[in-house]
Amino acid sequence: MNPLTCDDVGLRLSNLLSEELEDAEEVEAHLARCTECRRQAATWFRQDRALAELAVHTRLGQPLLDGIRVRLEETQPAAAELASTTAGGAPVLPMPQGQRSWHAHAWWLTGLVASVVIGVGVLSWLLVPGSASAMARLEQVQGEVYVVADGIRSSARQDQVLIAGQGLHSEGEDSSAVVVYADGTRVNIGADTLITELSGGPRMRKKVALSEGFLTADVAKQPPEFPMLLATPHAEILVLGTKLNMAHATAATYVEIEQGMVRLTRTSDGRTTDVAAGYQAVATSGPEPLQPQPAPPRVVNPRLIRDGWCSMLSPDGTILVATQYGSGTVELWDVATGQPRQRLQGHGSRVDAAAFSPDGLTLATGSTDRTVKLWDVTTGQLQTTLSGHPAPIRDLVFSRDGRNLTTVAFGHMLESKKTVTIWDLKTGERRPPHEYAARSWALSPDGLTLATASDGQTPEITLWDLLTGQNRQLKGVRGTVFVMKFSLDGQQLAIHNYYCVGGLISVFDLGTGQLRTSLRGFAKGRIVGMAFSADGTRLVTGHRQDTTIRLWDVASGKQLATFEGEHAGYVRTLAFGADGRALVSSENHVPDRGGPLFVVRLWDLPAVLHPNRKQP
Amino acid sequence: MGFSQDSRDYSEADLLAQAKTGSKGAFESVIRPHLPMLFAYSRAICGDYHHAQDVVQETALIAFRNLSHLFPEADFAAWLKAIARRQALAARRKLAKRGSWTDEAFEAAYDNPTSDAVAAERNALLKCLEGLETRAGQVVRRHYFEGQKLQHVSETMNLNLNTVKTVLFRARLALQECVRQRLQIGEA
Repeated sequence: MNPLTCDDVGLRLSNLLSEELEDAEEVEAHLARCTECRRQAATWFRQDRALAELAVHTRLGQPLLDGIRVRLEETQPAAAELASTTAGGAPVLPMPQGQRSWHAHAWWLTGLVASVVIGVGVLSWLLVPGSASAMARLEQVQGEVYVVADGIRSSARQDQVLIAGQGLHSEGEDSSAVVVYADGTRVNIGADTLITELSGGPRMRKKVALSEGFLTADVAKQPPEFPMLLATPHAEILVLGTKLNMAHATAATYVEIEQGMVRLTRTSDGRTTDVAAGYQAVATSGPEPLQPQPAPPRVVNPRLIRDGWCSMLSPDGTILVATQYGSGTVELWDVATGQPRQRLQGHGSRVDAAAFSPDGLTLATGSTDRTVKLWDVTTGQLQTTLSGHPAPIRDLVFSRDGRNLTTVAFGHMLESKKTVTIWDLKTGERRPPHEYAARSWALSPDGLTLATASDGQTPEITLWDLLTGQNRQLKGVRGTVFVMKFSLDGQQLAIHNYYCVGGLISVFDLGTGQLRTSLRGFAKGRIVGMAFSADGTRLVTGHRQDTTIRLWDVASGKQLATFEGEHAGYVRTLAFGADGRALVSSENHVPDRGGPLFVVRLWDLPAVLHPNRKQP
Repeated sequence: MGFSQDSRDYSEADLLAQAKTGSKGAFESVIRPHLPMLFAYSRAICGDYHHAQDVVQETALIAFRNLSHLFPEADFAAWLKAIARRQALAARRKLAKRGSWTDEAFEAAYDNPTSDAVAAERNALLKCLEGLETRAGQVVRRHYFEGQKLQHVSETMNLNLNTVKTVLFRARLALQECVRQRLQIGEA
C-alpha cells in the first residue's frame, strides 16, 4: 500500500473532524513523521473550534441558555443544596480524605447478596443509549451517590452511563448504588463507600479500586485473558469467576467468597493465596498469615434504631433489644430481617437495664420507675413485676440457671450507695438487699459477684460474693476508675482507670487475682462503654472524647482496629453478640438543636477482628 | 433576578460569588461567555452536534450544583472544560478514532479555554464564510451551524457523499488561507 501524501492526510483530517473517518491509524503514522501535516492538523482543529463556536454565536446561543435555564429550574440552588446536605450530617465537600469506618455497611451486606440475579443487567444494557463506547451503567442509585472524576464530583443518576476512569462515592448510611457492566457483571456498592476507579471494556480488564467501604460483586463473564481485578491499598484480588463480598477499612481488606474463587495478593509483601467459595480472607499491612478461613453466616442488621437508649442482644443473637430514651417502651427487633418484632409497654419511665434469661425465653427489664418486669419473649406478654426497689434500676443479671435475678439500684451516677437485691424468680421472694459504697461497679454474668471501686487516686477494687458477703481485693490499680466489666465466663475483669498521663485498661485474671494485661493507646479520651467478646479474647471499647470504637486483643494488649465514629456524640453501651460477631453500639448524637438523639446500630465485624467466633 | 443587562457590569468573580449563593441569574450570566467553547469542545469529543448541546446543558447543571467546589482562585473556564470533557466522553457515540497526534492537535486547540482566545479567528472566519463560494458555504453552514451529518448534507443538497467530503475539505483550505490573510493584515 502506498503511503499517504500530505493531500491525502488533509482530506482524511477533514473527514476526521466531521466524524467521517473510521480509522485514523494511517493519518497518525503520517503525522508522526510529517511536521508540516502536524501543523496543518493543529490549524484545522483550531478552525473546527472556531466554526463550532460560531454556531453558538449565530444560532445556538439562546437555545442553549434556554435549556440551561429549564434545567436549573429543576434543581436546587447550590447554596441551598449544600446547606440541606450539611444539615443531614454528611458534608458535600470536600472529598473525604483518608480512611473511614465500615460500621455503616453491615446491614447492607446480606440483603444485597441475596438479591443478586445473574444476567439481569445484560438485557437492560442493550437499551442504554450510547452504550457502545461506555463501560458500565448505574442500574440503581439510592441516597447520595456521586460520580467522581478528576477531583470533581457530580450527582449520580439512575441509568447513567459510566466510562473508564470514573469513580463512585456513596455518602451516608442510606446510600448505595448498583453498577452493571456491559457483560452483566454487577457490582453493588454499599454505604459510605469510595470507589476511586472503575474501568473495563470489550478488550479490557474490569477493575474496581475500592478505597474505603464495602462492595459485593457478581461476576457474569470472565475472559481468561482479562480477569476482573479488585484493588485496595492492602491487596489485589483477581477474580476467577465468582460472587464475593469485600470490605476495606484502615485496618484491613476483607473478602468473602460465595461462589467461584479469587486470587488474593497482599500488597505489602506480594504473598498470594486462593480463596474459594465458602471461605474468607483478610489482608492487612502486617505479616499475619494469609490463610483463608471458613466464612461465617452473616448477620442482617437493623439499620438504625432512633431514640435507642439501652441495647443488647439475645443469647442466640437473633433478637436485639432497644429501650427508648424518652419513654418506658422496650422494642424487640428481629436481627435476621431488620424488622421490629415486639413493643413492650408497661414501665412508667425509662428502662435503663435489660437482660435475657439463659434460655432466651424471658426478658427482664429494669426501669427508673424502680420496678423490674419480666416478659415472655415469644408473645411479648408481661409475666410479672418485681417492686420494692429503693431506687431506679440501673443493672440486672440472671443467674446461670435462670432462677435468680440480681438487680443494682441507685439514684444517680454520682451517688456512691448502690443497693443490690437478689430475687428468687420461682418464689417471687428476695434476699435482703445490701448496700455497697462504690464509685464504679460491675455485676458478674452469673449475678453472684459485685465488683466495686472506691473513689480516690488509690481506689480499692473489691470483689463481693453476694451470697456470702465475703470479699477480696485486687491490687495495682491507680487513679480514678470509670468503668469495669466482667468477661462472660466471669474469669476476667477489665477496669478502665484514668491516672496522670491518661487512660488505661487493666485486665485482671480473677482466678489468680493478678493483673493479666494492660491496654494502652488512648491517652486522651475516656472510655464510656466496654464489652468482652463471648470467648473473652477480645475487648471492645467506646471512647468519649474522640468518639472512636476500638477493638483489642486481650492476651497481647494489642489494639486490633479503630472504628472512626462519624457520630456527633459518644458511644454509650457496647455488646458482642453470642456468636462473637455482632456488636451493638448505642450512640449519643447531639445535634445543634433539639436536644440529644440516641441511636442503636448493630455492626458486623469482619473475621480478622474476631477470629474465634463460633462456626456453624 | 435579572442579570441579562446589568451583568455586563459585574466581573466573573462577582458573578460567581453571587451564583454560589444560589442565584441562577448570576450563574447564567457567568457561564454564558463560555458556552461557545463548551459546545465546540463537547462536539469535538462526542462527535455529535445535538448531543453536544445536551452535554453543555448537563455541564452547566453540574457546575451550578458544585459551585461550592470551585476555589475563588481557580480558572472557571478550565473547570467547566473538565466537566464538559467528562460528560462528552460519557455521551460519545463512537469509539475513539483519534490517535495521539490528532489528540494532541485537538487539545492544543483548547489550551486556552476562554472563548476570547479564538475571537479574532472566529470573526475572521465569519467574514471569510461570506466570501466562500455558494456550495462550499452551504456545506459548511449545514454541517457546523445546523448540525447536519455529511450524509444528510449530501442528501439535502443532492450530492454524492464523497463530493461533499471533498467540498468541505477544500472549504477548510480556503477558509484557512482567508483567515490567515485577514489576521495578517489585521482586518479581523
